[in-house]
Amino acid sequence: MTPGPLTLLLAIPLAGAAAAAAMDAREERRLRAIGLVAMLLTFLLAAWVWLRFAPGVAGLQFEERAPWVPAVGMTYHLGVDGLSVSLTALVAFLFPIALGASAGQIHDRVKPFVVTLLLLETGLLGTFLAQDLVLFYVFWEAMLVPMYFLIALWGGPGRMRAAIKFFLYTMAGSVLMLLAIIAVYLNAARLPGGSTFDLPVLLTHPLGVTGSTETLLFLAFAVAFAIKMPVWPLHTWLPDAYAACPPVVTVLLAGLMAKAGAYGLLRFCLPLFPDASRAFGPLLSGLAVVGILYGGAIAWTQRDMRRLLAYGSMSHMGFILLGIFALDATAVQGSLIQMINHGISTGALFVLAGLLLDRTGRARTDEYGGIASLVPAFSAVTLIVVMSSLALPATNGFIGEFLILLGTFETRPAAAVIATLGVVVAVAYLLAFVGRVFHGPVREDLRGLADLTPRERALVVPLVLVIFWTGLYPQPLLDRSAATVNALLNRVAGTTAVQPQASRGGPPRAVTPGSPPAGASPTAFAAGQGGTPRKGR
Amino acid sequence: MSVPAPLYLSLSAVLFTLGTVGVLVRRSALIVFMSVELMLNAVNLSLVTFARLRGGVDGQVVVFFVLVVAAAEVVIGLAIIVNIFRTRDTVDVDDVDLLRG
Amino acid sequence: MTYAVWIPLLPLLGWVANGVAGGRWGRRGVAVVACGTVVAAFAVGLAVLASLSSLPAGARHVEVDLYRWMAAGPITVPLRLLVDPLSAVMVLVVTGVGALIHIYSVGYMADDDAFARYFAYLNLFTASMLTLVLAGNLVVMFIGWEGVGLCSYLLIAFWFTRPAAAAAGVKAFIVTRLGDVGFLLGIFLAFGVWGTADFGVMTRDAAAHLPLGGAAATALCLLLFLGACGKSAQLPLYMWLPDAMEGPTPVSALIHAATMVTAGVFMIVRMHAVYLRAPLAMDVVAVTGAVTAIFAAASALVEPDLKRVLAYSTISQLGYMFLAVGVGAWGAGIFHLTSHAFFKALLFLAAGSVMHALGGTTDMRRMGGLARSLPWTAATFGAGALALAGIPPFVGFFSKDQILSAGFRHHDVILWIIGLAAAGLTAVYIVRAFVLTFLTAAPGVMRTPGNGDAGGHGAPHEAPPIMGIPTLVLAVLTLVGGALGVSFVHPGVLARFLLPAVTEGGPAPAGSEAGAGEGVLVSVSVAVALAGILAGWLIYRTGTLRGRSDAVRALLSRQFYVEDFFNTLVTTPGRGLAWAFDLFDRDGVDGAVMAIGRMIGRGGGWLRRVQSGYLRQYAAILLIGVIVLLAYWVSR
Repeated sequence: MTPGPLTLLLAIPLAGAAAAAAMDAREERRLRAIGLVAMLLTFLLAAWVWLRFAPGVAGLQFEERAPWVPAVGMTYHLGVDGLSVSLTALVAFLFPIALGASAGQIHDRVKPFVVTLLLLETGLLGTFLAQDLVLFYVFWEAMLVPMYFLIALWGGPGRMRAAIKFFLYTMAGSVLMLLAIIAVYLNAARLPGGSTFDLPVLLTHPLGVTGSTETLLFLAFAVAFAIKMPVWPLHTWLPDAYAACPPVVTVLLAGLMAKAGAYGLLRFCLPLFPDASRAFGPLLSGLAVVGILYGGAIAWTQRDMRRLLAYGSMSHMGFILLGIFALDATAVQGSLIQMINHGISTGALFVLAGLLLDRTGRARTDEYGGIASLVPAFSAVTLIVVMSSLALPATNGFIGEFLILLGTFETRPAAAVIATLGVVVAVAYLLAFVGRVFHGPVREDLRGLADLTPRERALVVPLVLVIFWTGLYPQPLLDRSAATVNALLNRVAGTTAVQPQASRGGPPRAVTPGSPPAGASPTAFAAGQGGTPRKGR
Repeated sequence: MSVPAPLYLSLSAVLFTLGTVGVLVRRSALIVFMSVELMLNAVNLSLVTFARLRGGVDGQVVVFFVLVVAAAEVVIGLAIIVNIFRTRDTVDVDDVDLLRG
Repeated sequence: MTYAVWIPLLPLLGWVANGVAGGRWGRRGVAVVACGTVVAAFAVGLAVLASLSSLPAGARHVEVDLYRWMAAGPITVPLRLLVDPLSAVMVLVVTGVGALIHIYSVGYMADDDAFARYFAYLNLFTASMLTLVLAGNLVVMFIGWEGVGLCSYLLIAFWFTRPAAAAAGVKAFIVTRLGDVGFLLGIFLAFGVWGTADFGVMTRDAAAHLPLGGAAATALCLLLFLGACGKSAQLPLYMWLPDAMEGPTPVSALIHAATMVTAGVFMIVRMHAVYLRAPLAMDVVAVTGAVTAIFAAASALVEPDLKRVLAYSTISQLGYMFLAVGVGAWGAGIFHLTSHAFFKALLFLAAGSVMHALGGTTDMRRMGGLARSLPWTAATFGAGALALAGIPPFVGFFSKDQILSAGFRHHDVILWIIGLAAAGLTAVYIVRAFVLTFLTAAPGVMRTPGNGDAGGHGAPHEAPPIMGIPTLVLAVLTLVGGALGVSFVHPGVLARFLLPAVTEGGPAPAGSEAGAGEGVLVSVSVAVALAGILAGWLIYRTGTLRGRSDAVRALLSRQFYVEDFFNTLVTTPGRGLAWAFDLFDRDGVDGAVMAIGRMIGRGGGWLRRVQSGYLRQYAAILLIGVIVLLAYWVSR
């Protein structure tokens, strides 16, 4: 097998890490340059893959497959489809920005920092590219370890405690997932081609797990992913970790690793355990709604801006979860686009918070005041990002939340109604943040605060451009995910007799009734969607 | 002429028991150490016996592994004991509880 | 008619230009760009109006698709503009009044440090408002709807170093967002009913999809009305508007009087075909409007702050508009919207001139006798006041009277009586404001410079021409604007033009038909207005009418305790709940997790005693273990 673009995508950061590791630790400038070059190359390649990706195809593209441990059915299988292609690009997009923003934060141990960052990038990319359960698990764990060190070595006060908490939490989930992976493998022994860890092959036939076994396996996977997202009530590692991290690491933690959890739900839980997904849909939607309001309300009370943004991020992740388990094409598409948006917006918020912290060293919002008149450019950018976070139309956040809520309204109206209140809560805490930090009387001890430097402008301008681009013209993103999402939802909607992959893919209306045909009584709508997957059981 | 297998096995059992008792009742680290060696060689003896009974060489191969490991163990173990003696002037195992949890 | 896209696009470009490079080309450049784009948009609006008029009445409905905005699953949302008489009228109001206020602002904000930022926001607001009125579906309308909300927040909190201004901005944003929840849910419901939120489709297929008085129609209309309540400051979501007066006065004129706050009325007229399917919702709209009208008029009676009086007046007049659309008098609603845009903007601009003269003072207790030093301002304010009170021949008379007679002809006379009473109160409070500001002898404390607002210098003097001329233009419009709806017997010019847009999918609007006894109705309402003026004069000018009730005064000055009620019922519990969540998160959820951790730690502490460190003990345990295993193995 000749290595294709996806293998190259994994290899570039790895090679960068090796190159950085071989360098003299005192040459900090060159170390950063090497890291940046590797990340930019990765980004270019990821952008190329994204552009060359053919929309309208449900299956995997750029597939690479080689035997890995044939004796036990492990394959080295990479591929991108509608679920992962944009996320892959997002990973490659955020890493150079994070490295650039680290210049003011990471002053010691630059060499291990650059190396760890590049290893983390490989792990994250692999997580989104792997199509083999064991390969996925390897990458999943491989991103955990660098993250542990990033928190533990470069964090602020309380970093050890936060790092250990983070590690134990995620490990607890990972172990469950490993058990479930093995169980799936053993269950698949009845497959015609013998047992395998290769996901697309597994999906060609019904897994044959039913009832409580399916429930247990589903839960084992779901808990692992839910911890990573995080889903209420498995979230308490998050505020500690986000607050203890250096802000640039939080950019990656909140912007990317959380997405790995949501992605896992879509990639593994839904197709492998369709019945359980439908059965647990209402429960998970409920947890999502709780998370939205609960996270938002707590964010409102926080005085430490990192904790405020942390709870806010959790609240926004609730929308993503809600969209996934609405099991509606519109909502799932919305969730996918919201994953990108959340990465951009929350990432940008933490980048900006980091720039502010570098300048003043103050984390508490009440130690600021009126800085909008001191740093106008910084404030304008922050305002744009805040507006994107609270889903103002024409910014990216609106597209995601609108599609999620619209789709959810079709299948789970009650959850959608309560979740919509979340947009008010978001205004409350985000404007409270803006009000305390940027508005109000100018604090004299902040006079002389420096505005964005050209280098910092170069970091935030791409983020702002993506915010408006996605808000005004999201169709390229939506087109790329449409076919895959439809195929996935048809699979979930079908009963246990799952069609082989070849015949999958159909009109979205097979999943959701969408708009009733002309002349239909609107009361049918008000009475709840008959024939939805939820009722179908 | 050949000695019947049960005799070898009996000898092995006796040696193993001697070693075990030695480990349990002696307090000198050196003697404990020698008792461990005794146990290892008792096992070696039974391995060889069984290998011969079955007509294969697997057991004899394993014996080599055991010998190698035992040799390595002697090197490290003696080094530890010497160090303990240097620092504490004793090799009584009841006086040494550095690994208490 | 694709060029209609330039109407919102021009101010948007002005925003980008002034926002990115405003600091570089000086105040003159900023002013030229900002005013120029809005005037240009007005010109395009006129062109659109002309080409629309050249079409036959039935064909005045042009949809302009820009591109497919989002399509996911079964839904598709195009970025679509809708050009019809309704949007054309609104475009002209927004750009026309907007352009005048832009020009006025050049003088008003001349000394402000953040000149460029101000005009960037103002342009963004104009662009958003134009998107709102030109939108071809509810989702595109929501872009404008939220955009104007954002600009309102930014401009109220424009002098953000003043805590009161910053807080007022946040309050405005949050309260209107509360209404927007309803708007969003309404959009979702519309997608559920029609599979689209396109105005053309909804208007055409309203009857086919919505049974008359059905639950879906009622829910949809009430949800959208909740959004309108927030944006248009109706009960119970009115409380952000008085506080919004913290913003610069031209902003109050443009956003919080002439344009943004009328978005709710416009939206209902746009959705009139749907509202006609839900009579119950229409009644709710009408009653809310009537109650708000009289409630706000009463609150304005005791308010000491000039701008806040005008704010309550705006709330009250918006109530009239909702009353109009609630009884199906779409044309009258839009007419009053237009006339209100003229005279209320005029009142605010005149008030702005007063503030300019006094160095930012808005407290009427510190004003008085200004008619001598500011004759032009007094005259223009007076014209606006007479229009507000509904005295012929000012524009307010015609529009208000159409609403009242529509209310009378509607099945419920009570609405008419409430409206009439509110009209009387209106006359009283505006006379009070005029008397306290311009006539009563000056207490002599008015020359203290205020903070932030236009700087005061020396004795009160008239504003420069760049402020005076736009005010004058509005005064002229107030005087002659009545021509738009002058006929009582037949629909006026405006109503005739609007007719095709507001009759699709429903019967002809109630307000357009002639009724017997129209003359009597008109006489009664003019009499009430005159009585109000007389009463106001007697109380506040000559002091002939006296007597006070502290209880009533307290009730009015707390606005019937609506806001206190709201605070007790929503804000305080909400805050408490958030703190409780925070506590629960630390001690409950995280506490449970940490407790598990501690339990494992304690278990380990207990187990570690096994590790005594004595070699022979380990060996003995090992032996026992081997024996147990062997025993088990042998025995089975």
